Parts: sequence; C-alpha cells; structure tokens
Amino acid sequence: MSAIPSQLTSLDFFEIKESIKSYLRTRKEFTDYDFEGSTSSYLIDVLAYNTYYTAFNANMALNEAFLETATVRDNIVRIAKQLNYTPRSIKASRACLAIAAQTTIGLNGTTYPEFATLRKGDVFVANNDNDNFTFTLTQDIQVAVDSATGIANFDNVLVYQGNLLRYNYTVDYTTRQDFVIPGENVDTSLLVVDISPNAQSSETDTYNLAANVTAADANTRIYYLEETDDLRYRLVFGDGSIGRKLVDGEYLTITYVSTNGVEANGCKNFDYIGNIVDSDGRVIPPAALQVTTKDAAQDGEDRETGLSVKFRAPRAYATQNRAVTETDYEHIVSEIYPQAASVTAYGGEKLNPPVYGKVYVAIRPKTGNKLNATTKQKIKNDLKKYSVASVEPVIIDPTSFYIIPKSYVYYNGNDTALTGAQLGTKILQAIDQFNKNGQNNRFGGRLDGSKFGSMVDNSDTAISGNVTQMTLGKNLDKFTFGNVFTQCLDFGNPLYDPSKYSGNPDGGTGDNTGVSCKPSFSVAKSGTFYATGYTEDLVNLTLSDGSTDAGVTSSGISTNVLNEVLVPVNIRDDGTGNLILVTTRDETELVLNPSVGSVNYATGQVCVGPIAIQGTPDNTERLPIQVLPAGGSILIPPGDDPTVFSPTVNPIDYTINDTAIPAFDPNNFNGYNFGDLGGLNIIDYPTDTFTYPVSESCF
Amino acid sequence: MASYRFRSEKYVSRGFKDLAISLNSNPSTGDFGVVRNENAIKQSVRNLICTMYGERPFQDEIGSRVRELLFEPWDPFSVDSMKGEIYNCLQRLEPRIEVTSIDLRDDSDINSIQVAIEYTIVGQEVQQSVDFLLERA
Repeated sequence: MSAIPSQLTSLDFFEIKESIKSYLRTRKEFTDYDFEGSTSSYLIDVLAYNTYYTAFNANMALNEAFLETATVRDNIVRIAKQLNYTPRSIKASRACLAIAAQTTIGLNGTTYPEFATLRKGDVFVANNDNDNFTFTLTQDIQVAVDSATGIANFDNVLVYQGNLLRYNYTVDYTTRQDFVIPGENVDTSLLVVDISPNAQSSETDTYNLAANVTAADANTRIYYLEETDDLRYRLVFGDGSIGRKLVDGEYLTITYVSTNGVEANGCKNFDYIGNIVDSDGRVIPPAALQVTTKDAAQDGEDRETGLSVKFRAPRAYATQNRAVTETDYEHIVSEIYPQAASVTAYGGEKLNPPVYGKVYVAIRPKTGNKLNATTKQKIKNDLKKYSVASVEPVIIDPTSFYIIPKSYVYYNGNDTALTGAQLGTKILQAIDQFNKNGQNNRFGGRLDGSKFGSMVDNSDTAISGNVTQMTLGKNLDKFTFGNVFTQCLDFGNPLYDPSKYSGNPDGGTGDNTGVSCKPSFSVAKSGTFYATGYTEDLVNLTLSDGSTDAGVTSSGISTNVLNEVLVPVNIRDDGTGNLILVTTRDETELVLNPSVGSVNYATGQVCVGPIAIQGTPDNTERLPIQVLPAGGSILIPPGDDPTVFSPTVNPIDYTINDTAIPAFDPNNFNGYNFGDLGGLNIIDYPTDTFTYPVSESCF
Repeated sequence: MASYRFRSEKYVSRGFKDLAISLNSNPSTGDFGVVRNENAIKQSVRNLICTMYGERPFQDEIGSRVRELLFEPWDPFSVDSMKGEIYNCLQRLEPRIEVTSIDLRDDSDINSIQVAIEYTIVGQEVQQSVDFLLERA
C-alpha cells in the first residue's frame, strides 16, 4: 500500500497529479477524482500545480547557483565574479577623422591665435544603414595654429559613438554606498573616474582600473570594476590596504560613454556639431572647418553574452596572471607592453635544434621594426614576475613570413558590370581584408590554399573559380655591408625539388640509370644586389674565357682588376641543392660562383653564404629570398609573423577567353607558371625587399 | 464470492462521492460537504460547462466555449453552437452519462440563459436532468 505520494522529484505536472490520485485511491473518502468535471479533480489540479511550481523553483534555484547551468545573466555574472572575471562591456564604434580649422586674425589684430582647442563631448553626427548616431570626443584636444596660414590641424581625432555623460557621487560614510554607473550601455574602456576632495574643489585625482592586486598599496589610486544587476557596472574602491580608501565627503565624478555598440559600425560621413575655440576664446564656425574621414566607424561590439561569460570565466581564472602557456605569454606581454602591435610566443622546444627551458617572445612594435635592447630587457624583467622560475623568457625581433599569392581568376563577364581591372581591385581588397584578419591569429598556424581560393571566389558573385599558386618570402637581414656572412632562412615548408623533375637522358631506361639531366628550374631566388668582389672585370674575364661559369672566388680575381665597378648579381639554386651567384650579360645568364650556399628542399631551409654583400638597390641591409613551396597549404613556422605580400590577381573573363590555366606543372615553363616565358625560371627574382605592411589606420 | 463481486463491479454503476463545490462544512462534524451519486454527476456536468479552455493548469483541452458564446449575438446560430458545445464537452469529458436532450431558454431581459440538460447515467435507465442559469459575469 502506498500511503504517501511516491513521486517526490518529478518535474512533470501530470506525474505529480497521478501521484496524488494514486494516493487518493488508497483512501475511501472520495471517489470521483478520475473524472475531470469533479470538484476533487479541480482541487487535485491546484495541489499538483503548487507542487510542480515548488519543485521547479527549487530546481531552478539550484541550477542558477552553478556557472555551468545558470541561465539568468545576473546569476552568471555573479558566479563569474567569484572567479574574478568581469564581463566585457559593450564597445563603442570608433572612427578616425582629421579636422582642419581655419582661424581668423586674433584679437591683437596682427597674428593668428596661438592654438585652438576641440572641446570634448558630442562632436559629430553620422549615419549608416541602421540609423543616425552621435559621435563623441572623450578628451579635449589642443593643437597649435600655423602662424602663416592660420590653420589648426587636428589630425587623427578618435571619436567614439555615443554620448559623453557624467555622474557624481559624494562619499558618505553614514550610508552603505554603491557607486553604480547609471546606464546599461556603458563602454567601460572609456570610463574616466576622477576624485576631488569636495564638490567645489578643482583638484582632481584620476583613478585607474586595477589590473590586479599585487602592485596595489594603501595609496594606489585604483578602482575595481564589477558588473552588477541589470547590466550596470559598479565601481569598487580600495579598503586602505589594497588601493586607497575614499574619504568621507570626497566627490566622485564618473565620465562615461553610453553607446549603441555594433549598430554604429560603418558610419562614414560625419557632420560636425562640436565646439572648437581658439586661444582668444572665440568659437570657430563650422563653415571654417574641413573634415576628412580617415577611418570609417568600426570595432563596435555588443556586450559579452552570458554564454561567452560561462565559457571564458573559468579559463580566465585558470590563467591566474601566470605565464605558463604560449598564449599566456602573448597576453601578458601585450599588457605590460601596450605599444606592441603583435606578440608571438613559442617554446624553445619547437626550434630546430630544440632549446629547452626558454620561451621566445617575438614583439613587433607599433612604430619601427625592432625594439631596442633596453626595452627588451625591461620587458624581460617585467615578464619574470609572471613566468615560471625555471623558464627564461627571451625577447626577440619578429621574423616576417611573406606569402605571395598569384591568382588567375575566372569570371563571367555577363554577370557583372565591373571591368576586369575593377574586379581585380575588388579581389585585392578582399585579400587585404583576409590578410588583416589573418595576421591577428597568424592564420591559425597555417594558410590552406583552398581557404584562400574560396575567399577569392566569394569576393564577387561573378567569379566562377580561381587557380592560385603561393610562393614564400623572407629577408636576409643578419649582415652588414662589406662583411662576409652566412645566414639560414627556415621556410618551414617542403619545396619543390627540381632534380626530381629533370628526368634522365634516355627517358629512364638503359645504361643511364641513376644519371639525371641538369635540372631546368630554380625554386629559390634572391633579389638583385652587389656582392663584394664581383666586378665588371670578373665578368669580362669570364666571357673571354668562353665559359658561362666563372668558377672563381671573389678573392681570386679582385687582385688583378682594372674596372672595379660591381655588377648586379642574384642568387638562385641550381636545382641540386646548391645556391649559385649569377649575373646577366647580353641576355645570357653568367654563373659567377657555383657555390654560395645550399637549399634543403625537404625542410625548406635556405642557407646563404659565405658571401659579402656590398650593397642593395634600396640601400637597406635586407635582401629578399623567394621560394616555391611544394604543397598547396602553407605551414606558418613557429614564431614567424605571416603576412600576405604583394598579391597578383589576373582576372580572366571566360566568356571571351576560355584558355585553361593549368595548375603548377614544373615541366611546363610556358603557361601559368611563374617566371619568364623563356622557360628557365619558374619563379622570378624578387624585385623589392619584403616589407611588413604598416597599418595606416590611426587606431 | 469472488466472482460475484467481480460481476457487481463490472456491470453495476458504482457509487460516486465528491466534494461539494460550495466547499461548505458540515455544521455538526466540521467536515467538507459531500455530494453523492447522481448529485455528484450533476455537479460535474455544471463544472465542466462553466470551465473555459485554458482555465485548468496544463490541461487546455478541459472545458467548453459556452462562456465565450454568451457574448455572441443571441440568434439561432448561437443557440446551435452552444448546444453543440455542451454536447461535445459532456461527451468528451463526462463518460458517466449519455446526453439525451439540451434545452436553452433565452432570458435576455435578465442577461442570462436557462440551460436544461437531460441525460441518462450509464448503467441506469433513469432519466436525469440538470437545470442551471448561465450569466454573463
């Protein structure tokens, strides 16, 4: 006999109802509970509903107590708070503008005013497909006025979408205060917190967001940020030991930007609504301004979703501000050295030969190419606070890895109004965007030919397909002019081995087994340069010898020369693993030195030297080396910064020209292959030094 | 004995016992009021017809549209609809009876409708009837 309801854990209304009915069946007081019209059935419904609600509530409450199962954002945020994780706020879209303001002769009647000031606050309105938006300036900008023209140039003015708002609190010890920013769409990265002794005081201290507590003491002016209920953020100040404690009566000013986030991305045309005054205090009218948009509005983001918080909070907690994995190093270095444009870290065990116990951190600064030794040492010292004791961080200059794609793109000319050249420009823009996105995560460690190809295909609907060949490039840069050096470049990808395609004299049968023909193409080539000792005289001597192979060393000839003008030379491989030094005379290639280095086709390592370079065309101590990888997918070597360099796009309207472009065929020197159509070269000698693209954005 | 009891449970209508909808207590015992047998069925019939769809938690199918129809213009079509609604509702949800007739009388001057339902209880030959007022409230 079941005297009590047995379904105690059910979350189903009907199971609970049935449980009550089965209890009543054991009693004789009432009988009609099985009929839906009976009053007892109505009462059972109410009881079951009540039980159901209680059970659901208990279940929900318990679920909401754990990060994994919580669904209500406020609860997720609360649990994440225990892991010291602050969800990322909404991010204002930002744009970069230049303003040229024409001032008038100053009050003294003779000269232009000394300077002009663009006041912070709402300065522009702009619109995109969604709506109209206000853009705001967070700080006053003051520039000098050109004394000759009277023009004040505000260059690289960063404006953020939203309204600049301000809110005040007076610290009051008698109440329990919560310093909440009163708005839910606040970009916390633009938050400014100022404290003054009282409301009337003009003295202010700006407080900074605390990164962690290790460096804070009783006088550190910091605040902590927490997300609280209803998407609001709360400021928390120090307690007098970890950060300065606020004093009763102090006056808190919070300046923040309330924004629409991602909606404002893409705003282009900015109408001025701001306030520029000159040093005489006169407002410069909008008619006297010329506004140029340098970068349209971008980078706006929505606030972090509950799902994202659930994913990231435990992982952020796991890092614990310690540098353990490669990503930890990258993250921490970008925090301790904000001027880094990109940071790549890798363990020494990935090197060949492996170097255990060291972590290499390659930093590309936002300005210039390399960090100086002092900065490197400082970063290293800062990094040691975070790194594991037995691991030594080594700060190195980044090695750039240039990927040079050459694409033949088929399109249907009837499907597009664009000309071939316009389509080419459109594809190049798509490649440019692809490159910008890829640089951030190093293309995920590899750049697959198919992925690149589909990106090209998707850049316009008229494109039916493409044939793309990639080549790779790096610069030799460990030399000084006039000094003999040897440098190896590791391309990290297998290269075509020309000797495998050369065949043998009688087609592979008979007595010549094992004898190969001379390889007919090169897979590694350098840019043009001047090598010490390789002069006009040497070339003339070589020619008079009736040979195209000088076969002498530079030291052997330079003693008996009359004409010491250096000849432009290149390095290429001979197809059997040797690098040779060549020049061109009367459209004929002349080998000046048959051994100036080696190529390992299997590993992609190219070693140049010993050789001395006397000069390069652009007079920099860099010499480009370009190689032809064997596979369609490019592996990015550890620590290298990849970038797409000088892509070539040849659009072909297949309704007019339906010539098939074959894929790379090392035996075909006339078709799509790189190099001159004469047949010797698969890839061209690179003409320019490879340069990492400098971001022209003012962000 | 066992077989006799089996026959009696299967073929003879059993007794019905339900709480009185008024939920009044018995003045002498203090217990809830009780309705039995045909009165319990009458009460059930009235309950079902006065229940609107969606009124019972999680059981949208229990009830009828009769209350809704009270607000329709009173014409022969509405009368037919209401009769049909009452008939269907009882057939679906009250297996203890078989409806024989439904009579609706318009008392629109006092904003109400007089409902008279005649039915037989399954297993008994006696005709039963229930009369009640439907009012717009």
